[in-house]
Amino acid sequence: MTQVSRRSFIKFSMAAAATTAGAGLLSDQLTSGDTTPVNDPQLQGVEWNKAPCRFCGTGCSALVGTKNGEIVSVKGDPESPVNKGLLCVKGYGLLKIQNGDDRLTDPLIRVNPKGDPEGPKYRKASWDEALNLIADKMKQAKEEHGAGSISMFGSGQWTIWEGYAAAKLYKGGIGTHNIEPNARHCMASAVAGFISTFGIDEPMGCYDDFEHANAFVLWGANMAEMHPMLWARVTARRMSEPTTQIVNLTVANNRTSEMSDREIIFEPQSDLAIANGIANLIIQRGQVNSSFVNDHVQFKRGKFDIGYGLEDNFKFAEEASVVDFTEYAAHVSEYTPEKVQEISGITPAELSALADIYGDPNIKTMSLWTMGVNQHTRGTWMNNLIYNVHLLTGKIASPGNSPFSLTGQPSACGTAREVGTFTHRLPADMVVANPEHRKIAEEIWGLPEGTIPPKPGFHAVEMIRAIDRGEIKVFWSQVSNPFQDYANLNRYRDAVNRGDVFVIASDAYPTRTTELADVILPTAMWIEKEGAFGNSERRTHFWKKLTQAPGQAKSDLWQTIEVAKRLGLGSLFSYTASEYPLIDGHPHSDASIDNGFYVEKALFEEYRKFGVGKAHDLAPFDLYHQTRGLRWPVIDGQETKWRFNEEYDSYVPPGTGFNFYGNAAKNGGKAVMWLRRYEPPPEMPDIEYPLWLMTGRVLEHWHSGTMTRRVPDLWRAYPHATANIHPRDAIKFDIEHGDKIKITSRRGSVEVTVDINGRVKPPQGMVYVPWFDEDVMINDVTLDAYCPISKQTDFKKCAVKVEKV
Amino acid sequence: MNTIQPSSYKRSLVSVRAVLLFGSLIALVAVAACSSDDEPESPVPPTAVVPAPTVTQVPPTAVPTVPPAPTATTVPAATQPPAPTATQDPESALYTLGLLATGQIDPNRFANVSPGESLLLDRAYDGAPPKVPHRADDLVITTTNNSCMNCHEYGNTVNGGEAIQVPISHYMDYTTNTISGELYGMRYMCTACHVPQVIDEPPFLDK
Repeated sequence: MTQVSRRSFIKFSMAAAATTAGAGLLSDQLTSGDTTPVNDPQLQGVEWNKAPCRFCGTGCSALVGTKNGEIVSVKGDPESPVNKGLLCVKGYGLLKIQNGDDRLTDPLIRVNPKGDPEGPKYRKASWDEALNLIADKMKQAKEEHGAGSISMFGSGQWTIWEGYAAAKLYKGGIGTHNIEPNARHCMASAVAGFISTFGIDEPMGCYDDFEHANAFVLWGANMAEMHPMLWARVTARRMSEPTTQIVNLTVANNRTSEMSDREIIFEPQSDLAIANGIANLIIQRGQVNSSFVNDHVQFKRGKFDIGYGLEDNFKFAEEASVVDFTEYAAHVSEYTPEKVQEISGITPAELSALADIYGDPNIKTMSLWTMGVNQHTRGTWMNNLIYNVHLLTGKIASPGNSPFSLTGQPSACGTAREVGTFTHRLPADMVVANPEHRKIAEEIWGLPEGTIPPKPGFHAVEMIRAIDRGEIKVFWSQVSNPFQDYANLNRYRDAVNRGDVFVIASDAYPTRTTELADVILPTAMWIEKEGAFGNSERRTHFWKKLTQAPGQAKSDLWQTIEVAKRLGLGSLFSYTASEYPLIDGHPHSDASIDNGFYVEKALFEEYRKFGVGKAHDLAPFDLYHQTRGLRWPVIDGQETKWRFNEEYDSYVPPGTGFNFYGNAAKNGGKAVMWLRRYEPPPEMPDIEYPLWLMTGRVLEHWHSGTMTRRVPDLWRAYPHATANIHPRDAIKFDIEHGDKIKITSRRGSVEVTVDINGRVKPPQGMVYVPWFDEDVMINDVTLDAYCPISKQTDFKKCAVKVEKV
Repeated sequence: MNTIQPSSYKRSLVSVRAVLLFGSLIALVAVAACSSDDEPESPVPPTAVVPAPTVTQVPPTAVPTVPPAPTATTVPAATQPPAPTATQDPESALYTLGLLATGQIDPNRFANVSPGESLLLDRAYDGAPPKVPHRADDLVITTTNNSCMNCHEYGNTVNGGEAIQVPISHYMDYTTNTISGELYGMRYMCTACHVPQVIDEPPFLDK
């Protein structure tokens, strides 16, 4: 026994303990993730139900414990294939997000004029009064200014049916496509990348890739803080397979660097050069997978010098031409290691190391990215360029070989993208500009032909600029906080305060958006309603209503349907109780109870019709309540793990091996490799504004912090935003740790405390400020430049100066 | 979980770590098996399942038993400095350690309490992960050195076991239902769940 290794000792002990204590009990304790003291009397009689976490796009499953209608505990769901029994600290915080002391419980109507220096004042109102006022304002706006003066802003936190109902109301009812999710700020570039490269949205791979990959290359993604449970899977792979490599390609040192085998710091925007440089080295070294490229790839050249969307009414149209491999190779040959170093600051050795990973056919490689690539004035190009590297080597759509676009929100995929709550989209990747697609939607929605307008409305940035221009008269925000979230916020907050736009804010708590609202609608959240999300890996997952919303709070779905009724559009949501009856004993939501039929099921079953048989197949409604979610396309109850690969995807024609069938009509099913180049960002540090400003999130807080800052344990973990700056810069600008500084750009300024030893450690020449803090409105400073193709704002790059206050 | 345990050990990290390893392992296994796998209240086994080994070992990487002389208000020395993964040159972006150690902490994120001098905090609720009651600004987790585990490793008994030990559940691989001597990989990033707390921050709504 004295020589026994620690490892075998524990195994031995556990075996002994299991024998004596009973394996069942032990197993239960262990898999519950130490969250449930089994004998705790307080947890007797607790009912556990699954519910996907309502924060990031990972899509962890939580087990929610309720007792007498109150939520009493939250733990990781051991049966979840996503998080395998664990949650991050925010996930554990789910227990308290509903219970803030200032929860909104009554509809509120503003009683003083906007812009009053005394601040907004409200009086309580009945739902009827508030809803009638909203409907009157919408009718008036439509009469006087047309349907295009009415708008809605939602998010990737809408449940699937909430987003579907809202899109149906606007596109099929009110008669405008002025509906956008904040996902436009979040993953529009990922969408544009998928559509332009593969002709169909969302990743080909899935989270199973984490356990197959030998290398992980992170392109500007601080997964350790932003996707903690996926990072846990990467970490697990790295620790169990020591040959696994993690490369953190980033503009600033961050927590993800700690576990990485290599950290490569590059200049903001220069990822464009790096990706081309990797492709060049692969070609130079003869590592191109020629048969894959010949069979499955088409090369295209698009426009260069595409602009930055800084002007109102900015327009962009791609002009593409088919080219060949030779032309592509000549294009990337400009990106020699020396040239890449000149642009990006990374050394030829670092570039070579990246090419070593991507070029080696035996190293199964996952590329991972989120906001660093997507919030980028060339975000679509960057998505294209990462796919290029994977396509060039054929390392795609097979276990472990996976370019994987992570999403930020729990249903950015499920609602924003799949339902199509963007101005230009319809469900299942269809677009409003296509007459065939409009016809399909009109048929499914039972609308006369020609009901759906043929032109898209305003995308998110243009929508809020249209408020400033006086073109939008009604703006309804659900599940989002636009007046903290938009870049160049001063302009848009001023516009609301000055203009005659009628703002409706549906929220659970007072926010920077509700303070600008004319009507505030108290809103039921998360498990106070029945819901469904779709996560990053195409997993659609459901939850049941588990607790009652406080006071008069109602779900977004209920609100949308009630407004529709008052606009005379109730027929959009009139399904029959005989077809979708309420189920005895089922905890139905407010929308179902008040309408007398199973609204969520009716909407979902109707929505399913868009995708079945079109490679977006969703399973029947009831199946999702019985599973931990399923990854579409779901064929005969079977999910699809790797799309475009004959072995796993029944949509791939037999005998082809791989088929990128999203492009079937265009080019017979080939992926497109685009010739994209490095172009500088619209604003770079100069003498007057010498620093980059980068914004982002922190582990503990979700987006604008309206929920997580009300959870005491998360609040005390990271109460206030700080500015992280390099110590040399601190010396240079005469700033000390803990000082209050003013960060100023050409658009605005903000005061914030300096933390020199913060979690994010920027290189010299950069300051990092997270945006969760409503008292540090960093988006007063940021620039509202966007990718001309995706229209996604670049929140990561602008030029600022700092001074001690 | 309302235990408030004043912790008396100071900055002498050390060989006790290995000395009491075996004995406490047994105790903890017993605790884990019989009640909950919360942090063990007592490291002393009521009855040992397996005879405790008499041979004690000093870790191969000898750690000084004398704590390094603390420099005025510097970073906490209670943990061994993590192996740097990158240069500490402040000219470079690649600094991962407490840079130019100012001795100041960010009052927004940490209580000014060093490891070993802190009080246990209440959990958010039964089953929620314990919070970190001390500053953790200079603790990093790399593939070769998990700073947290220097004090909190299962079976580790720094100064009589007052540093909370990672429960056995954290060594179990859920996918295979097996336990190994290494932290389960998904549990390796302690900071995903366990976060420091600013003790005296007034509630959000008071601001």
